[in-house]
Amino acid sequence: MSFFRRFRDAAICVVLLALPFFFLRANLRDPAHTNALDRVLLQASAPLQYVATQLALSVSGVFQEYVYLVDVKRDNERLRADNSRLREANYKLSGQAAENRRLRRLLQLRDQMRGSLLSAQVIGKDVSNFFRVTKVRLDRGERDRVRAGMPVLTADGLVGEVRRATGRDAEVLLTADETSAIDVVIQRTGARGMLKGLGAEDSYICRIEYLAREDDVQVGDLVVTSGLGKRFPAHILVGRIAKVSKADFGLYQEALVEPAVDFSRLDEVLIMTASARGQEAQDSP
Amino acid sequence: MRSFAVIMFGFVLLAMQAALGTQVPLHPYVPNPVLPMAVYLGVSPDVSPVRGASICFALGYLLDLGCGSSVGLQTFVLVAAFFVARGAGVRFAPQGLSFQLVMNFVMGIATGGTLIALRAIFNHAPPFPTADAERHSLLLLKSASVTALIAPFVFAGMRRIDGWLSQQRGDERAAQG
Repeated sequence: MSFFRRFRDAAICVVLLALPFFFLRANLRDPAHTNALDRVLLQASAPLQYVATQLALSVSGVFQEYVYLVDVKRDNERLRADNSRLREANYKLSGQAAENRRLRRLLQLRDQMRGSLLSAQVIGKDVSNFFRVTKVRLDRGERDRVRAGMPVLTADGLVGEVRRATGRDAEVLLTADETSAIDVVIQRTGARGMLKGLGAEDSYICRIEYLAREDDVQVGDLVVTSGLGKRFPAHILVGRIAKVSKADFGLYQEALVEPAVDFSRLDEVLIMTASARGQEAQDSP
Repeated sequence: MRSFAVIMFGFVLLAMQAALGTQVPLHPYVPNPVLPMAVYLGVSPDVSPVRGASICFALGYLLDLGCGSSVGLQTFVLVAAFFVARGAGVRFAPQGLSFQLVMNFVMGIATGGTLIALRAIFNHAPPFPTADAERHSLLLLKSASVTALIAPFVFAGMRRIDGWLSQQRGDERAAQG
């Protein structure tokens, strides 16, 4: 290696060591005490420093964006999990709120109806080929002093009556059943008739027979129990007139009734005991 | 080519450390990932002093920009570390694991001490930290220990770069000859 080359290498090494030292000295010194060399170094290094800083900022910006994206992905996963958990909780709470509302309405009904009412839970449903409920089974039976013929209702209206009761459960005859017949009145006009279930597989529709031809009956009229015969207390909502058909001749007209109770969504019901029925019957007009 | 690859490797290490720092609180166990590189270059006989010092200059400058210290602080210390390693590397030629750990631990303490001293000399605002010397010493020890622990991995990376470049060079020669 020639002397010149060795000298050059040594000089470069010294410069590489001295340059940052003087830069550092110029950078860290109190600006009031900088000398001419410091100022020259700072002025000379400023553009280089600016370019390097911008370069570093842009590179680190890209990198930070990447890291940020990684965080976003992780945050997304966490938020998605949170969302699922909260939706599940919300679903449960909604269910509980709906149940709470139903029970509250049942309690209100219980307060309104004088006499003893027995709350019962629906434990079984038979459905038709068209997914219409045809039979309902309750968790109360003879042990709870439930007897056949006792009215079953919800806050929405009349469900039917107990068809038969065994030791621990009872079967309900729905108003929509073809064997059901209930004496009813049109609330608006007081027109009387006999509500009979059609037992249709695809609907809960019922029919009022023996409605006098001259009675004023309109679609939307409320249908309530009459209280006659002491089977059901008076003024319990049964349904709403859906269609009125009047033949060209005859003494009666017919009306189709949409039950007030959605039998598909029955969960809790009230069974009206004999004493309550007696009281209601006494109060009924 | 080799210089560029080494500088890029240093950049990647610094970027990885920065990324890790956003996820895990590293303080006070903050390694200096480019210090083992300076040591490696120092103890590698085929790296000329000019090239080694130039690479360390660039790495130190990157470190200054990356950690926000005054420009020249890490640059000076890293170039100095290269020359010290060059001097020591002549005596402790074997580059086994224990050598890497001990050498980087010692260099970590030396460079950390130099950084504190330089700050104290040039920046009069915080006086020389004699008051909490114990705390600073502990910080130095922790940082140097972590730097020593990552040194074997950095050395392995540097060897890999060397091997990869040598293979490329061999292939080019074979293609020419």
